[in-house]
Amino acid sequence: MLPGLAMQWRDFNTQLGALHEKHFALGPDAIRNNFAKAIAAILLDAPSAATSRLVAEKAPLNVLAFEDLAALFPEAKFIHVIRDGRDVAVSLLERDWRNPRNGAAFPHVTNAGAAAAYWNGLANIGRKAERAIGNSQRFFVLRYETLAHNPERTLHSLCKFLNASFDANLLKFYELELPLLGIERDSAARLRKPISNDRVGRWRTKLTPAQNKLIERHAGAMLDAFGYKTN
Amino acid sequence: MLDRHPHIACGPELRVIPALASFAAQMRVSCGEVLQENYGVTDKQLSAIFHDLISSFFEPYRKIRGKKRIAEKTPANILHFGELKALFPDASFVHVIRDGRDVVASLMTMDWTDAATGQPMAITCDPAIAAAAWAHHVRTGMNAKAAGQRIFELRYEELIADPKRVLSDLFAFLGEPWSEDALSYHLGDQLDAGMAESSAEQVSRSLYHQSINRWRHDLSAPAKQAIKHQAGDLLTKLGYAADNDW
Repeated sequence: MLPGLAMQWRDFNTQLGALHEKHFALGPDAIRNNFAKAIAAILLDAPSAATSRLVAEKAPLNVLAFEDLAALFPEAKFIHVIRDGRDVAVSLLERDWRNPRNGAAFPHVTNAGAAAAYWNGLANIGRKAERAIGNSQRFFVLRYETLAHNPERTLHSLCKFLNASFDANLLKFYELELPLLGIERDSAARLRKPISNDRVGRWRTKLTPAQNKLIERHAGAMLDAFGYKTN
Repeated sequence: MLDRHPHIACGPELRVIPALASFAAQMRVSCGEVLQENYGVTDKQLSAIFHDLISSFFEPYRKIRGKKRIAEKTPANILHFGELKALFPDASFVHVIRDGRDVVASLMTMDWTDAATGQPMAITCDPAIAAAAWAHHVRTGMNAKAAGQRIFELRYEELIADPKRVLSDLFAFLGEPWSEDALSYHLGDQLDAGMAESSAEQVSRSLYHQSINRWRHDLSAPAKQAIKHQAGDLLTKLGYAADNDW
Protein backbone atom coordinates (compact mmCIF):
# COMPACT_ATOMS: atom_id res chain seq x y z
CA MET A 1 0.00 0.00 0.00
CA LEU A 2 2.96 2.30 0.42
CA PRO A 3 3.44 3.02 -3.29
CA GLY A 4 -0.31 3.46 -3.68
CA LEU A 5 -0.57 6.08 -0.96
CA ALA A 6 2.62 7.85 -2.08
CA MET A 7 1.31 8.01 -5.62
CA GLN A 8 -2.03 9.36 -4.41
CA TRP A 9 -0.02 12.15 -2.86
CA ARG A 10 1.85 12.78 -6.12
CA ASP A 11 -1.35 12.85 -8.20
CA PHE A 12 -3.02 15.09 -5.69
CA ASN A 13 -0.09 17.44 -5.62
CA THR A 14 0.31 17.70 -9.37
CA GLN A 15 -3.38 17.86 -10.30
CA LEU A 16 -5.18 19.54 -7.43
CA GLY A 17 -2.45 21.17 -5.40
CA ALA A 18 -2.74 24.78 -6.61
CA LEU A 19 -6.51 24.64 -6.44
CA HIS A 20 -6.56 23.35 -2.89
CA GLU A 21 -4.02 25.87 -1.71
CA LYS A 22 -6.35 28.62 -2.87
CA HIS A 23 -9.65 27.26 -1.62
CA PHE A 24 -8.81 25.04 1.30
CA ALA A 25 -5.79 26.75 2.84
CA LEU A 26 -3.79 23.61 2.09
CA GLY A 27 -0.27 24.44 1.03
CA PRO A 28 2.12 21.81 -0.37
CA ASP A 29 3.75 21.31 3.04
CA ALA A 30 0.40 20.70 4.76
CA ILE A 31 -0.61 18.19 2.09
CA ARG A 32 2.73 16.41 2.32
CA ASN A 33 2.45 16.22 6.10
CA ASN A 34 -1.09 14.85 5.89
CA PHE A 35 0.00 11.96 3.68
CA ALA A 36 3.23 11.33 5.58
CA LYS A 37 1.27 11.15 8.82
CA ALA A 38 -1.13 8.54 7.43
CA ILE A 39 1.69 6.36 6.10
CA ALA A 40 3.65 6.69 9.33
CA ALA A 41 0.55 5.80 11.37
CA ILE A 42 0.31 2.48 9.54
CA LEU A 43 4.02 1.62 9.87
CA LEU A 44 4.38 2.76 13.44
CA ASP A 45 1.42 0.80 14.81
CA ALA A 46 3.47 -2.41 14.59
CA PRO A 47 4.22 -3.70 18.11
CA SER A 48 7.94 -3.97 17.27
CA ALA A 49 7.98 -0.33 16.11
CA ALA A 50 7.52 0.91 19.66
CA THR A 51 10.94 -0.38 20.70
CA SER A 52 12.82 0.23 17.45
CA ARG A 53 14.73 3.17 16.07
CA LEU A 54 14.14 2.21 12.43
CA VAL A 55 11.17 0.80 10.57
CA ALA A 56 11.87 -1.17 7.38
CA GLU A 57 9.26 -1.77 4.72
CA LYS A 58 10.17 -4.23 2.00
CA ALA A 59 7.33 -4.57 -0.51
CA PRO A 60 9.08 -4.97 -3.87
CA LEU A 61 6.84 -2.44 -5.60
CA ASN A 62 7.87 0.30 -3.16
CA VAL A 63 10.51 1.09 -5.76
CA LEU A 64 7.72 2.65 -7.83
CA ALA A 65 7.35 5.34 -5.21
CA PHE A 66 10.93 5.83 -4.02
CA GLU A 67 11.07 9.38 -5.35
CA ASP A 68 7.74 10.29 -3.76
CA LEU A 69 8.62 8.60 -0.48
CA ALA A 70 11.94 10.43 -0.42
CA ALA A 71 10.03 13.72 -0.54
CA LEU A 72 7.41 12.56 1.98
CA PHE A 73 10.04 11.31 4.44
CA PRO A 74 13.21 13.45 4.29
CA GLU A 75 14.99 11.14 6.75
CA ALA A 76 14.09 7.87 5.02
CA LYS A 77 16.74 5.72 3.37
CA PHE A 78 16.19 3.57 0.31
CA ILE A 79 17.54 0.13 -0.57
CA HIS A 80 17.24 -0.94 -4.18
CA VAL A 81 17.66 -4.72 -4.38
CA ILE A 82 18.84 -5.77 -7.84
CA ARG A 83 18.84 -9.35 -9.08
CA ASP A 84 19.75 -10.84 -12.42
CA GLY A 85 16.64 -10.33 -14.56
CA ARG A 86 16.99 -13.80 -16.00
CA ASP A 87 16.70 -15.41 -12.55
CA VAL A 88 13.85 -13.06 -11.75
CA ALA A 89 12.09 -14.31 -14.87
CA VAL A 90 12.60 -17.96 -13.87
CA SER A 91 11.19 -17.20 -10.45
CA LEU A 92 8.22 -15.23 -11.81
CA LEU A 93 7.33 -18.00 -14.24
CA GLU A 94 6.95 -20.40 -11.29
CA ARG A 95 4.32 -18.19 -9.65
CA ASP A 96 0.60 -18.59 -9.94
CA TRP A 97 -0.37 -14.94 -9.60
CA ARG A 98 -3.75 -14.12 -11.00
CA ASN A 99 -5.70 -10.99 -11.64
CA PRO A 100 -8.33 -11.01 -8.86
CA ARG A 101 -10.81 -9.34 -11.21
CA ASN A 102 -10.95 -12.03 -13.88
CA GLY A 103 -8.88 -14.95 -12.54
CA ALA A 104 -6.48 -14.78 -15.51
CA ALA A 105 -2.77 -15.40 -14.83
CA PHE A 106 -0.76 -12.18 -15.12
CA PRO A 107 1.36 -11.97 -18.33
CA HIS A 108 4.57 -11.43 -16.33
CA VAL A 109 4.21 -14.84 -14.65
CA THR A 110 3.19 -16.55 -17.88
CA ASN A 111 5.53 -15.29 -20.57
CA ALA A 112 9.32 -14.85 -20.36
CA GLY A 113 9.25 -11.68 -22.49
CA ALA A 114 6.62 -10.08 -20.25
CA ALA A 115 8.57 -11.17 -17.14
CA ALA A 116 11.72 -9.54 -18.54
CA ALA A 117 9.82 -6.36 -19.47
CA TYR A 118 8.42 -6.23 -15.92
CA TRP A 119 11.89 -6.56 -14.42
CA ASN A 120 13.31 -4.05 -16.91
CA GLY A 121 10.62 -1.50 -16.05
CA LEU A 122 11.14 -1.80 -12.30
CA ALA A 123 14.95 -1.75 -12.58
CA ASN A 124 14.71 1.36 -14.72
CA ILE A 125 12.44 3.11 -12.22
CA GLY A 126 14.86 2.18 -9.42
CA ARG A 127 17.79 3.64 -11.33
CA LYS A 128 15.85 6.80 -12.05
CA ALA A 129 15.05 7.11 -8.33
CA GLU A 130 18.73 6.59 -7.51
CA ARG A 131 19.68 9.50 -9.78
CA ALA A 132 16.88 11.70 -8.40
CA ILE A 133 17.67 11.00 -4.74
CA GLY A 134 21.34 11.24 -5.74
CA ASN A 135 22.86 10.75 -2.30
CA SER A 136 24.78 7.67 -1.20
CA GLN A 137 23.80 8.42 2.39
CA ARG A 138 20.19 7.80 1.39
CA PHE A 139 20.34 5.28 -1.44
CA PHE A 140 21.92 1.82 -1.27
CA VAL A 141 22.09 -0.59 -4.19
CA LEU A 142 22.18 -4.18 -2.98
CA ARG A 143 22.89 -7.02 -5.39
CA TYR A 144 21.00 -10.18 -4.53
CA GLU A 145 23.94 -12.21 -5.88
CA THR A 146 26.41 -10.41 -3.61
CA LEU A 147 24.17 -11.04 -0.62
CA ALA A 148 23.85 -14.73 -1.53
CA HIS A 149 27.62 -15.13 -2.10
CA ASN A 150 28.75 -13.22 0.93
CA PRO A 151 25.87 -12.51 3.27
CA GLU A 152 27.91 -11.40 6.24
CA ARG A 153 29.98 -8.81 4.40
CA THR A 154 26.96 -7.49 2.53
CA LEU A 155 24.94 -7.13 5.72
CA HIS A 156 27.85 -5.31 7.35
CA SER A 157 27.76 -2.71 4.55
CA LEU A 158 24.00 -2.48 4.77
CA CYS A 159 24.04 -1.96 8.55
CA LYS A 160 26.70 0.70 8.13
CA PHE A 161 24.50 2.49 5.58
CA LEU A 162 21.61 2.36 8.08
CA ASN A 163 23.79 3.46 11.01
CA ALA A 164 22.76 0.25 12.72
CA SER A 165 25.09 -2.15 14.50
CA PHE A 166 25.69 -5.51 12.85
CA ASP A 167 24.19 -8.47 14.67
CA ALA A 168 25.13 -12.05 13.76
CA ASN A 169 21.51 -13.05 14.41
CA LEU A 170 20.56 -11.25 11.21
CA LEU A 171 21.94 -14.28 9.36
CA LYS A 172 19.83 -16.66 11.43
CA PHE A 173 16.51 -15.32 10.19
CA TYR A 174 15.50 -18.91 9.37
CA GLU A 175 15.33 -19.75 13.09
CA LEU A 176 12.56 -17.23 13.64
CA GLU A 177 8.99 -18.38 13.82
CA LEU A 178 7.80 -15.90 11.23
CA PRO A 179 4.10 -15.61 10.65
CA LEU A 180 3.97 -15.57 6.86
CA LEU A 181 0.99 -13.83 5.42
CA GLY A 182 -0.36 -12.98 2.01
CA ILE A 183 2.09 -13.20 -0.85
CA GLU A 184 4.95 -14.00 1.57
CA ARG A 185 3.62 -17.55 1.84
CA ASP A 186 5.16 -18.12 -1.59
CA SER A 187 8.60 -17.72 0.02
CA ALA A 188 7.94 -19.86 3.11
CA ALA A 189 10.29 -22.71 2.14
CA ARG A 190 13.13 -20.29 1.36
CA LEU A 191 12.70 -18.34 4.59
CA ARG A 192 13.16 -21.45 6.73
CA LYS A 193 16.68 -22.15 5.41
CA PRO A 194 19.93 -20.16 5.58
CA ILE A 195 20.62 -17.92 2.63
CA SER A 196 22.52 -19.74 -0.11
CA ASN A 197 23.66 -19.56 -3.69
CA ASP A 198 21.25 -22.08 -5.04
CA ARG A 199 18.91 -19.50 -6.54
CA VAL A 200 21.71 -17.73 -8.41
CA GLY A 201 22.12 -18.63 -12.07
CA ARG A 202 19.08 -20.91 -12.27
CA TRP A 203 18.29 -19.38 -15.63
CA ARG A 204 21.17 -21.33 -17.19
CA THR A 205 19.25 -24.59 -16.85
CA LYS A 206 15.66 -23.41 -16.52
CA LEU A 207 15.26 -21.14 -19.54
CA THR A 208 14.82 -22.39 -23.10
CA PRO A 209 16.80 -20.68 -25.91
CA ALA A 210 13.53 -19.13 -27.12
CA GLN A 211 12.86 -17.68 -23.64
CA ASN A 212 16.42 -16.35 -23.44
CA LYS A 213 15.90 -14.61 -26.76
CA LEU A 214 12.70 -12.97 -25.52
CA ILE A 215 14.45 -11.80 -22.37
CA GLU A 216 17.34 -10.41 -24.41
CA ARG A 217 14.86 -8.46 -26.51
CA HIS A 218 13.03 -6.93 -23.52
CA ALA A 219 15.85 -6.50 -21.03
CA GLY A 220 19.17 -7.06 -22.83
CA ALA A 221 20.42 -3.50 -22.46
CA MET A 222 19.51 -3.37 -18.78
CA LEU A 223 21.21 -6.71 -18.06
CA ASP A 224 24.28 -5.27 -19.76
CA ALA A 225 24.06 -2.03 -17.82
CA PHE A 226 24.18 -4.04 -14.58
CA GLY A 227 27.03 -6.17 -15.91
CA TYR A 228 25.06 -9.41 -15.68
CA LYS A 229 26.00 -10.59 -19.16
CA THR A 230 29.75 -10.08 -18.85
CA ASN A 231 30.09 -11.68 -15.42
CA MET B 1 -26.09 26.87 -1.08
CA LEU B 2 -25.03 24.80 1.91
CA ASP B 3 -21.99 26.99 2.52
CA ARG B 4 -24.43 29.78 3.40
CA HIS B 5 -25.89 27.83 6.31
CA PRO B 6 -24.44 29.08 9.62
CA HIS B 7 -23.41 25.56 10.67
CA ILE B 8 -22.14 24.17 7.36
CA ALA B 9 -18.91 24.81 5.46
CA CYS B 10 -19.05 23.64 1.85
CA GLY B 11 -16.10 24.50 -0.36
CA PRO B 12 -15.39 23.58 -3.96
CA GLU B 13 -15.24 19.89 -4.81
CA LEU B 14 -12.47 18.30 -2.79
CA ARG B 15 -11.81 15.56 -5.28
CA VAL B 16 -9.29 13.68 -3.20
CA ILE B 17 -12.06 12.02 -1.18
CA PRO B 18 -13.33 9.37 -3.61
CA ALA B 19 -9.74 8.37 -4.41
CA LEU B 20 -8.83 7.96 -0.75
CA ALA B 21 -12.08 6.19 0.18
CA SER B 22 -11.58 3.76 -2.66
CA PHE B 23 -7.98 3.21 -1.59
CA ALA B 24 -9.03 2.49 2.00
CA ALA B 25 -11.60 -0.05 0.80
CA GLN B 26 -9.00 -1.70 -1.41
CA MET B 27 -6.53 -1.91 1.48
CA ARG B 28 -9.06 -3.67 3.72
CA VAL B 29 -9.47 -6.37 1.07
CA SER B 30 -5.94 -6.73 -0.28
CA CYS B 31 -3.81 -6.35 2.83
CA GLY B 32 -6.13 -6.37 5.82
CA GLU B 33 -4.63 -9.63 7.11
CA VAL B 34 -0.99 -8.47 6.79
CA LEU B 35 -1.82 -5.12 8.39
CA GLN B 36 -3.54 -6.78 11.32
CA GLU B 37 -1.02 -9.56 12.00
CA ASN B 38 2.28 -7.89 11.07
CA TYR B 39 1.61 -4.23 11.69
CA GLY B 40 -0.93 -4.42 14.47
CA VAL B 41 -3.28 -2.24 12.43
CA THR B 42 -6.83 -3.45 13.01
CA ASP B 43 -9.69 -2.68 10.69
CA LYS B 44 -10.80 -0.05 13.18
CA GLN B 45 -7.37 1.60 13.24
CA LEU B 46 -7.22 1.59 9.46
CA SER B 47 -10.54 3.45 9.49
CA ALA B 48 -9.14 5.95 11.97
CA ILE B 49 -6.04 6.54 9.81
CA PHE B 50 -8.10 7.27 6.69
CA HIS B 51 -10.66 9.25 8.70
CA ASP B 52 -7.82 11.49 9.89
CA LEU B 53 -6.21 11.71 6.45
CA ILE B 54 -9.44 12.73 4.71
CA SER B 55 -10.38 15.10 7.54
CA SER B 56 -7.01 16.79 7.30
CA PHE B 57 -8.04 18.05 3.85
CA PHE B 58 -11.23 19.80 4.90
CA GLU B 59 -10.52 20.76 8.50
CA PRO B 60 -8.57 23.95 7.60
CA TYR B 61 -11.48 25.15 5.45
CA ARG B 62 -14.01 24.35 8.16
CA LYS B 63 -11.97 26.37 10.67
CA ILE B 64 -11.58 29.32 8.31
CA ARG B 65 -15.34 29.37 7.81
CA GLY B 66 -15.87 28.95 11.55
CA LYS B 67 -18.55 26.29 11.03
CA LYS B 68 -19.26 23.13 12.98
CA ARG B 69 -19.71 20.71 10.10
CA ILE B 70 -18.49 20.19 6.58
CA ALA B 71 -20.39 19.36 3.40
CA GLU B 72 -18.43 17.71 0.62
CA LYS B 73 -20.00 17.51 -2.80
CA THR B 74 -17.62 15.72 -5.16
CA PRO B 75 -20.00 13.75 -7.42
CA ALA B 76 -17.87 10.57 -7.39
CA ASN B 77 -18.36 10.31 -3.61
CA ILE B 78 -21.59 8.45 -4.39
CA LEU B 79 -19.53 5.47 -5.58
CA HIS B 80 -17.97 5.18 -2.11
CA PHE B 81 -20.84 5.93 0.28
CA GLY B 82 -20.45 2.53 1.97
CA GLU B 83 -16.76 3.02 2.66
CA LEU B 84 -17.29 6.67 3.65
CA LYS B 85 -19.92 5.52 6.17
CA ALA B 86 -17.33 3.14 7.65
CA LEU B 87 -14.78 5.98 7.85
CA PHE B 88 -17.27 8.63 9.06
CA PRO B 89 -19.98 6.82 11.05
CA ASP B 90 -21.65 10.10 12.06
CA ALA B 91 -21.83 11.51 8.54
CA SER B 92 -25.09 12.14 6.69
CA PHE B 93 -25.31 11.15 3.03
CA VAL B 94 -27.20 13.02 0.33
CA HIS B 95 -27.80 11.71 -3.17
CA VAL B 96 -28.63 14.44 -5.70
CA ILE B 97 -30.39 13.01 -8.75
CA ARG B 98 -30.82 15.00 -11.94
CA ASP B 99 -32.35 14.14 -15.32
CA GLY B 100 -29.61 12.14 -17.07
CA ARG B 101 -30.33 13.88 -20.35
CA ASP B 102 -29.49 17.27 -18.86
CA VAL B 103 -26.45 15.73 -17.19
CA VAL B 104 -25.18 14.46 -20.56
CA ALA B 105 -25.95 17.78 -22.29
CA SER B 106 -24.01 19.56 -19.56
CA LEU B 107 -21.06 17.13 -19.71
CA MET B 108 -20.76 17.63 -23.48
CA THR B 109 -19.92 21.30 -22.87
CA MET B 110 -17.21 20.64 -20.27
CA ASP B 111 -13.59 21.36 -21.03
CA TRP B 112 -12.05 18.53 -19.01
CA THR B 113 -8.81 16.89 -20.04
CA ASP B 114 -7.47 13.56 -18.92
CA ALA B 115 -4.34 14.42 -16.92
CA ALA B 116 -2.63 11.21 -18.02
CA THR B 117 -3.13 11.63 -21.78
CA GLY B 118 -3.79 15.35 -22.24
CA GLN B 119 -6.80 14.37 -24.36
CA PRO B 120 -10.37 15.55 -23.67
CA MET B 121 -12.09 13.12 -21.30
CA ALA B 122 -14.34 10.59 -23.03
CA ILE B 123 -17.16 11.53 -20.67
CA THR B 124 -17.24 15.02 -22.25
CA CYS B 125 -17.17 13.80 -25.88
CA ASP B 126 -19.18 10.60 -26.11
CA PRO B 127 -22.86 10.77 -25.04
CA ALA B 128 -23.00 6.97 -24.64
CA ILE B 129 -20.10 7.02 -22.18
CA ALA B 130 -21.56 10.02 -20.34
CA ALA B 131 -25.00 8.36 -20.10
CA ALA B 132 -23.51 5.07 -18.88
CA ALA B 133 -21.54 6.94 -16.22
CA TRP B 134 -24.66 8.80 -15.10
CA ALA B 135 -26.62 5.55 -14.84
CA HIS B 136 -23.81 3.85 -12.94
CA HIS B 137 -23.55 6.67 -10.40
CA VAL B 138 -27.31 6.92 -9.87
CA ARG B 139 -27.75 3.13 -9.57
CA THR B 140 -24.86 2.87 -7.11
CA GLY B 141 -26.49 5.49 -4.90
CA MET B 142 -29.93 3.87 -5.13
CA ASN B 143 -28.46 0.44 -4.36
CA ALA B 144 -26.74 1.76 -1.23
CA LYS B 145 -30.06 3.16 -0.04
CA ALA B 146 -31.89 -0.06 -0.89
CA ALA B 147 -29.26 -1.97 1.09
CA GLY B 148 -30.24 0.02 4.16
CA GLN B 149 -27.86 2.99 4.27
CA ARG B 150 -29.52 6.18 5.51
CA ILE B 151 -29.39 8.40 2.41
CA PHE B 152 -31.42 11.50 1.58
CA GLU B 153 -32.43 11.46 -2.09
CA LEU B 154 -32.88 14.88 -3.55
CA ARG B 155 -34.10 15.78 -7.04
CA TYR B 156 -32.14 18.61 -8.62
CA GLU B 157 -35.24 19.77 -10.52
CA GLU B 158 -37.30 20.01 -7.32
CA LEU B 159 -34.52 21.95 -5.64
CA ILE B 160 -34.60 24.53 -8.44
CA ALA B 161 -38.38 24.66 -8.57
CA ASP B 162 -38.92 24.94 -4.83
CA PRO B 163 -35.62 25.50 -3.03
CA LYS B 164 -37.29 26.44 0.24
CA ARG B 165 -39.22 23.19 0.60
CA VAL B 166 -36.38 20.95 -0.54
CA LEU B 167 -33.79 22.70 1.61
CA SER B 168 -35.98 22.60 4.68
CA ASP B 169 -36.45 18.83 4.18
CA LEU B 170 -32.70 18.51 3.74
CA PHE B 171 -31.90 20.52 6.87
CA ALA B 172 -34.42 18.45 8.82
CA PHE B 173 -32.66 15.27 7.63
CA LEU B 174 -29.32 16.77 8.67
CA GLY B 175 -30.71 17.83 12.04
CA GLU B 176 -29.93 21.46 11.25
CA PRO B 177 -32.23 24.45 11.81
CA TRP B 178 -33.74 26.27 8.85
CA SER B 179 -31.57 29.04 7.44
CA GLU B 180 -32.91 31.72 5.14
CA ASP B 181 -29.31 32.45 4.13
CA ALA B 182 -29.13 29.24 2.09
CA LEU B 183 -31.53 30.78 -0.42
CA SER B 184 -29.17 33.66 -1.20
CA TYR B 185 -26.70 31.38 -2.95
CA HIS B 186 -26.58 33.60 -6.04
CA LEU B 187 -24.50 36.03 -4.03
CA GLY B 188 -22.08 33.21 -3.29
CA ASP B 189 -18.39 33.50 -2.62
CA GLN B 190 -17.43 30.94 -5.17
CA LEU B 191 -17.27 33.11 -8.30
CA ASP B 192 -13.68 32.11 -8.88
CA ALA B 193 -14.00 28.40 -8.22
CA GLY B 194 -13.07 28.11 -11.92
CA MET B 195 -10.96 25.02 -12.20
CA ALA B 196 -12.75 23.40 -9.31
CA GLU B 197 -16.03 22.83 -11.06
CA SER B 198 -17.41 24.20 -14.24
CA SER B 199 -20.75 25.02 -12.69
CA ALA B 200 -19.31 27.72 -10.43
CA GLU B 201 -20.58 30.46 -12.70
CA GLN B 202 -24.06 28.96 -12.72
CA VAL B 203 -24.14 28.70 -8.96
CA SER B 204 -23.11 32.30 -8.64
CA ARG B 205 -25.47 33.75 -11.22
CA SER B 206 -28.56 31.86 -10.19
CA LEU B 207 -29.13 30.59 -13.70
CA TYR B 208 -30.17 27.17 -12.49
CA HIS B 209 -33.55 27.16 -14.14
CA GLN B 210 -31.92 27.36 -17.55
CA SER B 211 -30.22 24.06 -16.95
CA ILE B 212 -33.48 22.12 -16.70
CA ASN B 213 -34.66 20.54 -19.94
CA ARG B 214 -31.67 21.95 -21.78
CA TRP B 215 -31.31 18.54 -23.41
CA ARG B 216 -34.29 19.24 -25.65
CA HIS B 217 -32.33 21.74 -27.72
CA ASP B 218 -28.75 20.76 -26.84
CA LEU B 219 -28.77 17.06 -27.75
CA SER B 220 -28.53 15.69 -31.29
CA ALA B 221 -30.71 12.76 -32.43
CA PRO B 222 -27.79 10.29 -32.27
CA ALA B 223 -26.92 11.54 -28.77
CA LYS B 224 -30.52 10.96 -27.64
CA GLN B 225 -30.40 7.50 -29.17
CA ALA B 226 -27.19 6.71 -27.30
CA ILE B 227 -28.72 7.87 -24.01
CA LYS B 228 -31.87 5.77 -24.57
CA HIS B 229 -29.68 2.74 -25.18
CA GLN B 230 -27.56 3.27 -22.06
CA ALA B 231 -30.03 4.73 -19.61
CA GLY B 232 -33.55 4.78 -21.10
CA ASP B 233 -34.89 2.32 -18.53
CA LEU B 234 -33.44 4.27 -15.60
CA LEU B 235 -34.88 7.58 -16.89
CA THR B 236 -38.29 5.89 -17.05
CA LYS B 237 -37.89 4.32 -13.62
CA LEU B 238 -37.06 7.73 -12.13
CA GLY B 239 -40.08 9.28 -13.86
CA TYR B 240 -38.08 11.62 -16.07
CA ALA B 241 -39.62 9.99 -19.15
CA ALA B 242 -42.81 7.96 -19.62
CA ASP B 243 -41.10 5.68 -22.13
CA ASN B 244 -38.27 5.73 -24.67
CA ASP B 245 -40.23 7.86 -27.12
CA TRP B 246 -38.67 11.28 -26.60
